Amino acid sequence: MKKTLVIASLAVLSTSAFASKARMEALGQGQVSRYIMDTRSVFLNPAMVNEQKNYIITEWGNSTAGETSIAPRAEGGFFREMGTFTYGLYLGNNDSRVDHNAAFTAQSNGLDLFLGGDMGVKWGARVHYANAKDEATNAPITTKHNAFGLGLGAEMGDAEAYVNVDLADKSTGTAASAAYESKMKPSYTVGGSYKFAGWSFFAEYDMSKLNETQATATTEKDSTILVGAGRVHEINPTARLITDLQLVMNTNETTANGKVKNNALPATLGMEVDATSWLVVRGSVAQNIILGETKLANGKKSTIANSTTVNAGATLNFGKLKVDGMIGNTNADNTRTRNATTDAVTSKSGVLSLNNLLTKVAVSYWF
Amino acid sequence: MKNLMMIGSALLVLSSSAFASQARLLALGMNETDNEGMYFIQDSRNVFLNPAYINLYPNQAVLEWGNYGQIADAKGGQGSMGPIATLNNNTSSPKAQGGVFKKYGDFVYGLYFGNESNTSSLLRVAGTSALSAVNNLNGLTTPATADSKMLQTADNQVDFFFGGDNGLKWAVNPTVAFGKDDGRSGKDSAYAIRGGVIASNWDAHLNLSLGSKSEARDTLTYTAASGGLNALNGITVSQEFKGKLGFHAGGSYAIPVGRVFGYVKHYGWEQTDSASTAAYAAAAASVGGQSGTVKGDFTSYYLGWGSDFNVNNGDKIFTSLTAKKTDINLKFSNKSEVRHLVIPLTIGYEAKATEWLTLRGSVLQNIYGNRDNKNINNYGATGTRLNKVASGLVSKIYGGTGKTTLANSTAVNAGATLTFGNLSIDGLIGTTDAAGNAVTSAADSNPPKTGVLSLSNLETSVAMTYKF
Repeated sequence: MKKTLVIASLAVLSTSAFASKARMEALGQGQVSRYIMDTRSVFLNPAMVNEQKNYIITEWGNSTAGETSIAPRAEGGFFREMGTFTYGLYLGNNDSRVDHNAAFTAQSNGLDLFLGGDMGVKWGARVHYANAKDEATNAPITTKHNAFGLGLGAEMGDAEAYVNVDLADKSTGTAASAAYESKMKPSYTVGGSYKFAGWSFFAEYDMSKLNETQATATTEKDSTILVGAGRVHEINPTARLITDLQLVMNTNETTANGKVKNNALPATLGMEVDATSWLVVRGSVAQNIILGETKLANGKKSTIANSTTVNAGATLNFGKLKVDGMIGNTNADNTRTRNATTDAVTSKSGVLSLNNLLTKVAVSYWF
Repeated sequence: MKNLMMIGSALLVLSSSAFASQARLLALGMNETDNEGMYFIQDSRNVFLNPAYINLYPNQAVLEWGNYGQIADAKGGQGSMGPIATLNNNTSSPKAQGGVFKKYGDFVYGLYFGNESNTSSLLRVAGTSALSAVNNLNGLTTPATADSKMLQTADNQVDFFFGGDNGLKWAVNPTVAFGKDDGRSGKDSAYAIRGGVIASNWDAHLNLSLGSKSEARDTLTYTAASGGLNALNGITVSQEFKGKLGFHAGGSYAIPVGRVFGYVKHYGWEQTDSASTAAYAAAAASVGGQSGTVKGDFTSYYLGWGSDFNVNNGDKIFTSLTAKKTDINLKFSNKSEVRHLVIPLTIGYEAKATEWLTLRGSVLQNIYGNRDNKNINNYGATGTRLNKVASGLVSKIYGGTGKTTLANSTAVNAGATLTFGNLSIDGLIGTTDAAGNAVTSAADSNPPKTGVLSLSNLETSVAMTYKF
């Protein structure tokens, strides 16, 4: 009866504002899209604070640093307009562009501050900060982590550009030794897009470098070149078709595995439909076409298998309050679909479960 | 009931007459390995039977929820059946797929991802080396774990569609899937083209498999727990599956009441296993297998009549009587044979329960069902050479060794469509038990359902379709 009341009492104002990791994932975009407007866009281009503002968002999840499809991370914040400026505060964005060894302290309590304005050119800036220290757990060894980053972006008509620089992301000390260290070198993402003939053409370069010293010293260098085009085609006022094609060329070089290259050409077909005034349903199918392979350091190549992925999600609109989530991510017995090794959603079973109506839930309130 | 009421109380209420999903056809009694469609029921899924159907279903996007489709490493065990593989065409493990069909002037085109052939997967499973299939086996008769090195089945398949209507509706549908794994010297590829036409009272299609190949080379691991195979620990086995020209030709013809229809499917192949005769002889327990090249063929004949009857202003009653004979030959020294004949009678309904809810279901039973299979699951010195995984899979679909009528063929399926204007959400209902678990069976393609209408699992094998 509870669920009946919840749905039946839904008020019915839909707005065009959407905001969540769940929405991005349902549309096959990962954490953030390079051509679909969403509040997540501020983490790619801080100038997007000028596009969607005056809201508070909470993403349900765990407090741990890592984010997986199964175990989302708790985070949230608010963004507010103030004259010609927009500012924002976001908590819990503990994304680290490098994977520190599990022995080190992971990033936590991340804090992001945003400021943007519109002076003909829309601009925005983001400052990211995280700091942690633990003198007790492994006493007398002290373990520490700190991270600091900056993001800058601009939007001029049909063009936009952004750069996100992580100046520091460093963990020191493990249970084994206070001298052990995992230190990211300054790393960055730079990219931009241009809208033409209904399509957004985008390009991005991302690089990071990690030096770790434990019993042995290891390094990891990672770079990704991404080029693509995407389109949001509004078929009618209540439905949008989403299409994109991206060329992703990743090179990852580690002490253990040498240089490993992953090249892929994923295509995504998606849709987002205002099914009723209180319900938005979305979904996507994505698959590598023509290109999708891993090349190991020894020159051996293998196709990236099973790249066909169908994701789905929904938004319940309660007027200015929106509840986003993914659907179809639990099995018939209400257990979550997951790969036991990677903890990623892989073994979906095609079930529309009303017990777990939404997963990876985000609630946003617009004011 | 409360969950259903909750959905219903708020749904806006425009129903669309077009339906499009595997779930709908499964609920109405479709029983095809590839779920490619039905000749006498209009559904956009029929584009995989006859691509000319894209002219009837332009301007829509379809997303079928599910899991990945490739069978590369059958793991785990099921009693005495060995490591298992499942074709993702049934009600418990649907395969993720989807695409878009769009009208462009007088033409219709489409792009579809993930509709790999289950028949192709079945044949590649059968073509896998018997030693590779039991790699790292833990216990021969009741294996707890295994890490089968199967020949890769196709994945990442792309289907292109292009068709038009010049009085005669026509379309072509080339498909391609390929993969590579240098780590095990593995390669696989599959190419096919479908073509079809639809006239006013008849339709026809010819689907050609132009190439299907899968090969791999693996060094196998066995332990003391591998049922007497540990003498072969470290053996390297090369294996290859090579398809010959295959075809699927068929069509239907409208008669005063309903349609008559039929098809012939035929696929031939060669499978090569480099493991020596001495190696198989050294295996202390038989796991099947045969050194060298073995030929196989799969032929299925299908003939039937079916009709839908409009009742009560838009609801439908469906009925069909069909006959399907499937012959599979694998020419080992002890030839493996499947001889499977079924003549099912199916009665189904589809009713618009409310403006937002369509319910459907069917009951089917074999009027006649018989199998006469040889060397499918009888291991031993003079028994089958089929690998353990293939034996389990073939037994599940066509039964094990022996001549018998097909017992317990009565099956009831049901499904529902939730309609939100142009968006419809299809699914099966009644496929989970009272504890919420999906009803599955490792040994039976007709898993024992428990008659539960679960609102927690409102629908399974869900598909979303949007018409624009």
